[in-house]
Amino acid sequence: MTRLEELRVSRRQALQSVGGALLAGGLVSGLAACGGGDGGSSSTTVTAWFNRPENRRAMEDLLAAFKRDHPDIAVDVAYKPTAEYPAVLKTALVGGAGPDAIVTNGANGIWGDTGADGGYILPLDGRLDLSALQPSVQRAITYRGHVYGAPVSTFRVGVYYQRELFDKHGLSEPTSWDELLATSRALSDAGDVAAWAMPAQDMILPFFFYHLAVNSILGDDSVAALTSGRRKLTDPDLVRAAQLMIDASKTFAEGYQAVAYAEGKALFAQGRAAMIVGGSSDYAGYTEINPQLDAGFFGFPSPDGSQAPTVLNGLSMAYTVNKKASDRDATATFVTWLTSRAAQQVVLDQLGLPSIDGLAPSGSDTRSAMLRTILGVDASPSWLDFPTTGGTIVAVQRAPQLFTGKLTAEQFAAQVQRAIVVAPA
Amino acid sequence: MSVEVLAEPDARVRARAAFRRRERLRSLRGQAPLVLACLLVLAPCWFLALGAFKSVSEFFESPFGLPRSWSVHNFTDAWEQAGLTTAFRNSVVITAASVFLSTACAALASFAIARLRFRGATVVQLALVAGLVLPTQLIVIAAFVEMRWLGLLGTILPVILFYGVSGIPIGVLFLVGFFRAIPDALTEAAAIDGAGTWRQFRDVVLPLARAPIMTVAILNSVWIWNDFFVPLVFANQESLQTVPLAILNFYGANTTDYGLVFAGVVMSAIPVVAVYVAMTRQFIGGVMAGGVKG
Amino acid sequence: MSAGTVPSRGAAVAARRGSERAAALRTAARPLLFLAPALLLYGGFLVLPTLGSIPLALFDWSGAGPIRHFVGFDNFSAVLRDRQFRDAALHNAWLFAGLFVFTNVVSLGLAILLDRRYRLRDVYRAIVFLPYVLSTIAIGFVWQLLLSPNIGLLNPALEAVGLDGLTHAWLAEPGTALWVLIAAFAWQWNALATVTFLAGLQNVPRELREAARIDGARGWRVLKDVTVPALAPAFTTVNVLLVIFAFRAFELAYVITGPVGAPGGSTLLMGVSIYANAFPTSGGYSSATNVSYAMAQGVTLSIVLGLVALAMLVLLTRRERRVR
Repeated sequence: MTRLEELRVSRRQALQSVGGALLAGGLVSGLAACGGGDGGSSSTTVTAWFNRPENRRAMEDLLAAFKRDHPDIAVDVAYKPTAEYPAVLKTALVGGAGPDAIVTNGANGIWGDTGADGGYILPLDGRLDLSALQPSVQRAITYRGHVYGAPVSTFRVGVYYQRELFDKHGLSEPTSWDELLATSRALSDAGDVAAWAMPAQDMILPFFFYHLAVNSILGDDSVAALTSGRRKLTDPDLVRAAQLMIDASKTFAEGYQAVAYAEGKALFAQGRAAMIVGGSSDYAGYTEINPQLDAGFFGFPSPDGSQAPTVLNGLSMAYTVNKKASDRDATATFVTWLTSRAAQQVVLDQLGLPSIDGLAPSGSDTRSAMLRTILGVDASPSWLDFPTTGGTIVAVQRAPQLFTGKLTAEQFAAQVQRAIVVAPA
Repeated sequence: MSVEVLAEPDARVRARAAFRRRERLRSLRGQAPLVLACLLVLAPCWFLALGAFKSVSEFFESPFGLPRSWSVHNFTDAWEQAGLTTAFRNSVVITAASVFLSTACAALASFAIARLRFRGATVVQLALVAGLVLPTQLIVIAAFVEMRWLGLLGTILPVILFYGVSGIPIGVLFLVGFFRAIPDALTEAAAIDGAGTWRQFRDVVLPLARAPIMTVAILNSVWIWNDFFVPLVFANQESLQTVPLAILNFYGANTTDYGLVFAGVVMSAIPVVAVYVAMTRQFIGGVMAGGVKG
Repeated sequence: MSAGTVPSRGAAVAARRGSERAAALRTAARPLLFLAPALLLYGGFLVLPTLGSIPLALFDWSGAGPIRHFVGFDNFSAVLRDRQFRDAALHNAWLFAGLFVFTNVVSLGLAILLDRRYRLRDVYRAIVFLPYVLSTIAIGFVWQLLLSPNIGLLNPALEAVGLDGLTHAWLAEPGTALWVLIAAFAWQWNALATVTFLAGLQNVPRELREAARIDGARGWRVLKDVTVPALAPAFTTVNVLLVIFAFRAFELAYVITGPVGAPGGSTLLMGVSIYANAFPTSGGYSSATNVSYAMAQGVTLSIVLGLVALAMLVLLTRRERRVR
């Protein structure tokens, strides 16, 4: 039973490196709640954290399915609150008390300071069937030549709209920037609704608006062009993207600069605003507020309408293996299993868009229909998937003066450009 | 200020009646601004409580109106889903232990600073109060490493210790002033009767300072009860969850059931307010009248 | 006089000095015994982690991963040059000013009113205490919605009483946002201040106050000559706490105006800036945090705040002693 010996050896190593039987006892009893196997020959326990308590049932379904495939590995999941998760994870990793399987918030958790750069996770080379994954996902999980994470779900960002309001004003999905502005102004001038719900308190949706606009010009080439330095956000045609947002801001809901995400969602869902930039997982939030929501979805139009509208596509959730995992093999088995077809079906049904190719939403409910619509739009890669362009979201967050008029479009573009790490190939 | 003693009994009776009339008017006049203040204070709390009776869609439809029905299903659902039985138990244990620890340490230290003459008393006082100035969230990482090194992770102890320590500065800040205000004559009298320093502390100073001590205990209790950051970092297992931590799980990444959140917040606040009223009733007003004579 | 019954003078002196020394030791040790629990706990679990954390400010560390890059005092000089941080400090100063006036007028007044005997006194006291008791995240959210120009209550309420001209996008206009935020803080802080003043009022002998009033003295005289001087220790406590609260304020602002102090940074407070630098915001993008810089900000804030609070404490304690 080489495997058993391996388990024993790796565990002994872990105990030694963590320092102290007391400490090990404390950690094990603390993290492996009730009854987790602690060295018996029949099962081993993998600890994992999950940061979406609202999707608890999805995780429980995943665990049940995993148990069917791997009865010898028990997974003990602790649910952490979403907003505080990054802080908790960082503290735990720095203090050496993180879980075996770490959930990430996007690709940043794979290459960032809580992942490979921080030296906290193990490569998963050879354990994943890369060919089964979507191409953009393959790129997102590869860093410095190694595969570091098991991708669980992806996101797409585009524009949701209230179908009723569009019909009422005889509007159709815009296919050029001019049409986008015209549609916004028509809705705004009509007076009873705002054209856009744009909760800008944390500047996240404005970031996506800007990103969509730039990608509607650069398309699939967006990340490569910016990373290599071939294109800069301060190029005249790309500055127009920032200017577009400034122009559109006149049709944003009143007081948008201080509106927080929750209120912004409510404004759209209740039809007080006609359009909102949103991702595939935001839809659940809208329908929670208004179960009778009749929403459509379109990709961001290209400036002159010559190209098809596009959405952003990025990695939403992945699992990585902690270097300090007591059983690296079992942990890797668990996280890579999450890309299996069985697991991905659960993901598609309850969590979000899958990370593998070949799975399509099949139901006839509104959610499945919406996901099908979203998947039907051309997609271009999100800057958030890559370390060279990932800093742009923070740069935008720190530039709210764009809306108070203290920053011009050029200055804004320059500020965001500074966050891009240009690495000519 | 002296009280004139009126010679004729009639005049005295008339003065007393006039006094009572003035007092009643004063009481009514005093209540008017009080009622106004209470209404202003209550408004946001009232809307929060109303929200506890609404579903999410109803809440955003009519955030400030009366709920369509007064059904308490949000309360029962929140209680179940957040495991509030365990959470309340943990919160009570943690809060009680932490407050006891910090109040005891602060009272002892303040007594020494305020009434025992020793060099460096002011320095010690300032050093202890200085803790209020520190950003606790920044020392959390180092504290976490320290707790891990001590092998305390996974238990309730790091939380209690950290809270106990964090409550000392405010205790010292409060109590030094109040302890100092107690006249020396009282402790000297006790000393003459043969009481040592400890007996002076326990039998003379502590009973007289019940009001500020209870105030310190209450003030510390509230922020400790409501804090989620410390247990989040040090003891986030489900078996050790506190009430605010349990409620935090209702905030989702994309969907948040505000009805459950508000119900949880209301249920969390009720015991605290009840304890506050019970404790202040003990020491405010008639009971302690004439406590400190000068 | 035999040598056995009367001890020699030298031995007697020595014996007395020995017992005196023992007594002296006991007296010296007494403060230490009282101080020991607080000092031990404090030293072990507050001072130690702080000393362990401060050196982080000398590096360039994002909060996770290896701590490699030593930068000396660069972070501190960057903090002093940071215009956003200076603006935030100014906002904190305004917060302090607003709260100072509010506390020493409204909270004090409320405490005095609440000290009398009413039938509904417990109800009043419970209500006044509520803002401090309710979860800041939840109540901040309610505040945000109340002030919203879209689905809020404040604007419609103003319109209903004919004050249409006063409606604003309260949280979105730089002119009103900070003051509205200060109002929210005052609402929350009032509970603490009032409760402290109330405790202090217990030190004012009731007989003295009543005697003065029977005597025909008007309320103001009683206030000035009896109540306020006796409130001196409470006054010190409240105002020192106020300074610290105003400059460390964070949670309510983070909820109501967000991690960047919307709109456009005009409501940014130092505590919010520090938190946003140390912990990733809802985007979850973790590499961009700079715990080292946040630590440098935190140390700077603590030093400045420590000096201000110290000055306040010394000044007010001196006043206390004068009054006594």
